[in-house]
This record gives sequence, C-alpha cells and structure tokens, in this order.
Amino acid sequence: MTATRRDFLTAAVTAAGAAVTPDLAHAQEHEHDHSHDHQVVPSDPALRVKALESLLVEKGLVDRAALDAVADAYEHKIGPRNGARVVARAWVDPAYKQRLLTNATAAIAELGYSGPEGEQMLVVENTPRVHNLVVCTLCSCYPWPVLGLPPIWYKSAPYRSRAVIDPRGLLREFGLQLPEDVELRVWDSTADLRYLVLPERPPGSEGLGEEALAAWVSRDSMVGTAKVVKPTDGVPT
Amino acid sequence: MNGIHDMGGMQDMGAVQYEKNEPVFHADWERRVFAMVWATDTPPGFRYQLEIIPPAEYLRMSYYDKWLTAFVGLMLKHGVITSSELETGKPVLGTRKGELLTAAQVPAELTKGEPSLRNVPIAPRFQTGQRVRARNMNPVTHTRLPRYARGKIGTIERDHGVFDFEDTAAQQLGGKPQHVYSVRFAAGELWGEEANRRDSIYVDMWDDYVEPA
Repeated sequence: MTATRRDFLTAAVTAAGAAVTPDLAHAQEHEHDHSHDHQVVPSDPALRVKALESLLVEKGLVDRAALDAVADAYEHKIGPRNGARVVARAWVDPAYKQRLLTNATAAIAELGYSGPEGEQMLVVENTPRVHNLVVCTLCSCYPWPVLGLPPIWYKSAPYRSRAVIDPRGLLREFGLQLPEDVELRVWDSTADLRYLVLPERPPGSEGLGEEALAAWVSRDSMVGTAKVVKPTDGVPT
Repeated sequence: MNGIHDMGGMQDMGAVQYEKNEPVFHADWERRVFAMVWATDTPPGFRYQLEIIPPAEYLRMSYYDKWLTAFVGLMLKHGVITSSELETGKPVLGTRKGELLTAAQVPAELTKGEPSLRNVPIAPRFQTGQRVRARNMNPVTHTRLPRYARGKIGTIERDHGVFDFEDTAAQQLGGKPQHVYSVRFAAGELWGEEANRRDSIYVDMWDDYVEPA
C-alpha cells in the first residue's frame, strides 16, 4: 500500500531483467535447432507483439483502427468515473438505489453503461453493520463497464490469495481498519457475475449534488478496499 | 485444474504492491495485446490457456505477458495461426479463420458483451436457504470451483438464474446451461475456528458443483 511509484518501477525492471535471461538462452538455442515446438518469435514482448499484430493484420484477422478504438475507449471512456456516477445516483435517488440492488445490470444500463465483463452485474451495499469486498481468486474478473480495467494489485497473487483467508489483515494493509463488530462479506467472482460495491455515503457530503458526490467516489471504495471520504485534493483513484 | 492460478487461501505471497495513479496500460505493447485479444474472434478456452502457463512462469510474468502467451497459445492450438506464420511473419494461404471486427463496429461491440445468462426453463436443484456441500472434485480441465471451497458446507443465498457452464464451454463441449447460486461459506468452515465469526466468503457456483449437505 505504501509502495511508491519508484519502488514499483524498480520491481518491474527487476522482473523484466529476470525475464530476459532464460528467453535469450532459448533464442540462442534456436540458432542451432529450429525443430522445437515452442515460441521462436523475439523475447522482448514489445517486439513479439509488433510481429504478432502485423501477422494478424496481414491475415485479415484484426484491423489496426479497431485496435486503436478499443484501447482508446478503455483508456478514456470506460473507467471508475462510470461506477462513481452509478453510486452517486443511488445516494440521491432511493428508487434508483432499489432498482440497482434488485436488478443491477438494468439499473446500470439506465446510465448508459454496459458491455463486456458487465453482462450480469450485482451490486452489494455497505452499511454501518456490513462491509463488502470483491476479489477474483482464480483470475482477474472485474466489472469493466463501471470500473474499467483492473489495477495490477487486484490481479496480483498477494491480493487474490489473501482476500478470502485474511480479508481483515488485507484491508488493514489498504489502511482500512474494520471494527470488530462489522460483518465482512467477501465476494469471490468465480462465475459470470460481476460485482460492484455500493459504498456508504460519507458524513460531510450532505447537500451535495450528484455530480459533486460522484467526484468523491474512489475506485477502491467500489471494490471494497476503501471507504468514501471527503477528497483532500483532486479526484480520488 | 489444481494450478497456481487457483490461489485463494495461499499464504506468503507478500504485501500488496499498490501503485498510486496507476495508468490503464504500462506500455504500448500491453495496450496492443489487450486490444488484440478483445478484437479478435478468439476460440473459447482463453482462461484455461492462462491456467496452463507453468507455475513459476505464471508467478513471474506480468499480466499482459500472460495474456500474450495465452492468446498465441490458443490461436496456435486452434490453427488460427501456425508456428511457421509466427516464425516468418508471413501468412499462409487458406489459414484465415475468424471474422474481422472493423473500427466502425467497435462502438456497438463496446456496449454489447456476451451474456452467458440463458433463458432456458430448467428447475433449480437447490433452494435459497438450503445447506449444501461443494463437491470434492479435481478435474484437470478448466473449472471455476476454487480448491478452498471443495468439500465445504455452505448455504444457498441466492439463485442467479440459468447460465452456460464455463467448465464444459472451455472444452468446447457446449454450454450445458444450469443454475448458478451464490453460496455463503462461513470463514470458520473454510479456515478453522480461529477465523473471524463475522466473516463470510460468497462463491458463485454452478449446479454441477453443488450437492446436498
């Protein structure tokens, strides 16, 4: 939780360095023996991806402009701001909240959000007595239309392994100390349902309009690793 | 398959590495891999292809490195591309398989998805509130029943309706539609009496994973 950007980059570079050696060994091996069944394209992922993309384009299996449109949508349009609008609407409109809790997929579609990894949605509500936490122990299942693509930590071994066996310890690492008398529900997204946590509306938000409220809602609060608090600067992640 | 991907309940995986203001992609090649997997008419079995990455590799590789490996593996397996094409970068005539998604089709596809909820009149075998046991099963193929739940007793909390079955779909054996239930397991049932009494783990389980307790 306290890892800085630099720590993260160092770790990534180390991992990348570790990755290069065995693949280089393979590449050299292939100089002498091309009969192997395994991969013979360059070891650097950037080069491998470039070669693969060119091949798929030449085969007529992908259209470069379509790839750009897809990536652009997930970088700029489909992200946690969508989920924040759903949460803010539920906070100001009790009838919407009811629809959201009984038929989440349809209620989310009312705001214009739908698509891959959001085909069957469920919304679970935090209250002063109940806290919800979402994980995908087997992979990386995450409600894309409302939260976008998952952050690295959500897909990582530490999070996936501990969320079910030590959820309170995990939450402490995120800076969230759950009171002992609060019931904790962990949702393992093992099938085709995708989960969004409806966080509690925080104190100090009284009188705010929907748009202002949405700006308070962080991505993490909709996964269940944080509560919504009054933002200190800018839009929270 | 009892692979490394099934990691719920494992210990000593280290602290969560949290990156503030994390970008959606960390490199352009990740962006390209994501978009290719998204936009290509891929045969079923992508998840299984991720799961059969050797354990040490699985833990070492970055997320999109795994995607790249699984994507290439899946397309080779189904003959969508061939290893000689990969090697030379030149398409072989007559090997093209799959529909082309054009840029004009992307906006509509982004809102569509592929629902696996099926409108099939199948009676549920279990009722809300019923005590059930997760089957003890150890298939070597794709399954969504995590190891930590197998053999454990839980309660049916909700019936989500009838869905295609990922276990058979991944093997191209068809959807085998059946009910999916949200099953609540007390943390103590899964992890022993030292677990917090107020903690529960909810697992979405296809009917085939469930037996009467």
